[in-house]
Amino acid sequence: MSDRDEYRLNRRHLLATISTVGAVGALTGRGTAAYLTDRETFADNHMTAGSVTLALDGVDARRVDLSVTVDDYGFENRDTETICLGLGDESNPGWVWVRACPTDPVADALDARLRVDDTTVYMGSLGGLLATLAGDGDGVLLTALAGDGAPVTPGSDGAVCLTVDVWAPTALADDPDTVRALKAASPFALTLDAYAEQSRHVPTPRRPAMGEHPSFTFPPCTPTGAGSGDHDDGNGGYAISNVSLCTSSPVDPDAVTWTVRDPETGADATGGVDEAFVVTVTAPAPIQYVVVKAGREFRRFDVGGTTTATVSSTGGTLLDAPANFSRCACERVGAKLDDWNGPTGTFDAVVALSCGDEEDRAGPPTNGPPGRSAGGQTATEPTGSDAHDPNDASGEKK
Amino acid sequence: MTHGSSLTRRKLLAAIGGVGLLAAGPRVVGAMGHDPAFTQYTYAQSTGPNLRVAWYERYNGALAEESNRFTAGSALTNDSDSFNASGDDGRFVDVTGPDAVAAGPVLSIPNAQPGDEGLLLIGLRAEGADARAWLSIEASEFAENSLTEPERTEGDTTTDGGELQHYVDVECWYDTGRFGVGGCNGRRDFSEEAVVAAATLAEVSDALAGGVPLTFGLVGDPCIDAGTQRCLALRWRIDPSVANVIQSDSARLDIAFAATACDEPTTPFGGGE
Repeated sequence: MSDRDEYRLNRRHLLATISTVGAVGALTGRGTAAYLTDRETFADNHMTAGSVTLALDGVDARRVDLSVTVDDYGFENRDTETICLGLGDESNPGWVWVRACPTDPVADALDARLRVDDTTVYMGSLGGLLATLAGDGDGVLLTALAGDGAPVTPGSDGAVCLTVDVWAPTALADDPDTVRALKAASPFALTLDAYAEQSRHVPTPRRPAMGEHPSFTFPPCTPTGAGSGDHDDGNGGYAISNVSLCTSSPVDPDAVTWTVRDPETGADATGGVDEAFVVTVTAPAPIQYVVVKAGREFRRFDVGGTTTATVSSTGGTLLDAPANFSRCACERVGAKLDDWNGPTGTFDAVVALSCGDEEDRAGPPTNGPPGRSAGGQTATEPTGSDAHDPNDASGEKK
Repeated sequence: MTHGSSLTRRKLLAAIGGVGLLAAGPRVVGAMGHDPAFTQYTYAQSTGPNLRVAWYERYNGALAEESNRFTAGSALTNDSDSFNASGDDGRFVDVTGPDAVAAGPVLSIPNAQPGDEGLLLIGLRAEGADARAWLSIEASEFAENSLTEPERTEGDTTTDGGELQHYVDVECWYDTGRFGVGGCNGRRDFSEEAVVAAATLAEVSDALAGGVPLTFGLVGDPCIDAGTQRCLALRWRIDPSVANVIQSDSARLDIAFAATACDEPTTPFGGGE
């Protein structure tokens, strides 16, 4: 067989070949039929989640810490802080809640004003302002402070600016104890927390409080302490800053003696501690009662005419008295252990009290510069001029 | 279904649907495909299956998109009459291929929030020949995008991938109506079967990316008769309890349909049936 014969097709081969081709065709046809398809594709669909982001002075944060320092008396010496709360440019509209934490209780002696976009919405004590902004611990709706409580729109145009003015009323000039405590506690930290929730699908703002909001409550506020002048003892109490001995007859202050005692053991701790929580006092005349000032509190201890009494920063009867009450805490006469001095561990002075003049006793504070007190104490705090009507003032001190 | 009956369940359903629609007017009879009044297209049987689609999209209850705008027809509404009439009037369209309308994305949600929900109602029409329809849903391109402060606060530290696909709930069912009556209304009746169990977008994608045949709740005869249409509903929702972890996250979603011969057992999408 020649080579050519190798290519010769006999009928069997041809049939086989045809058969094979047919088989392939059949298979191909089967396969082709399987892939006769039509396709319709909805492609390139996208879903992107939106966002709700706070903008506190333009910063995406949920807490801002402000700090105020008061250097002198009077509204004109106020410290002013402004914070603009809103939502980021890319945020969705939302309900914005703001909550203030309390600061050092001694700051209640300071006055404060809150303006919302230049509208005064609060005037009173700093403590009262913070309490207002604290709500019941779950804050207040930002736009309800001076508006209709509508959702905040994103961007700087929708931001709500809060301006807090804090100043020392000139009446404090007559209360050096409080002034000293204020100075020790200064500067005062003002912590504001903010929370925003989308308004879409939330037609009514949900107060961020346990039981009212399923997923959010403000974090607890950090406990606050007091300044070095009236130190918190770590157990929630404050040290004694002055002691007034109220007697029936005048007392020679030089004849008054006192002893600081360990509040747990009663042992003499005079000179060994920089804070006094328990003091034993002895007077040359019968003591009717003693008034103790500790922190912002005044406590009365009825002694009953003995010449020696032991008083503390936590006992006795809590009095509802103005901040400058200790300027003349006795009804008539007595003596006052004044101005506890921590570094030396002593009272700076023992002075005679004569409070027969009702105007001298816890009278209305004056706005003038501080002068010599009825007890002969000279206020050493810086003075300020008379307070102006804050509503008429617009200047700020940052 | 009676054993030995010459009626398939599909035909029975169509008949039931026809009965249900009779009251709507004589034109609707043709809408079911048994007596088409007219068609815009002519197809040779040899060209194989031909699938056309119509759809509407609702976002938070509002109509966002519908396909009759491409044929200058009245907007599709949430009932089978609307879809049937559109099918009869030749308003079902191609969205893929040379005759495709410029549909663009049918689902474009740039600002989804917890509490949002949407519905994509798709009518599938077999033109020229009976067809078996297949569905593929594939989610991809998961992205974290920016990591917002609220996300970081919730402990989200991922920089890629995002979490949105795990928090979008998807439900896909045959919107055939109650025992074949009604349908295409976007409301799931207890008798309407799901294509796949309701799950998250990621889970649904895992289940459907390879393609599954659409049975429309019928056993043994899943074809769409030539000249008729059936509806498939896809509902998505972000639960209001979903928190900040999804902020600014994104995902892509491709929804593909294929038509094959009725006896074709193999998915045209490359996955297993």
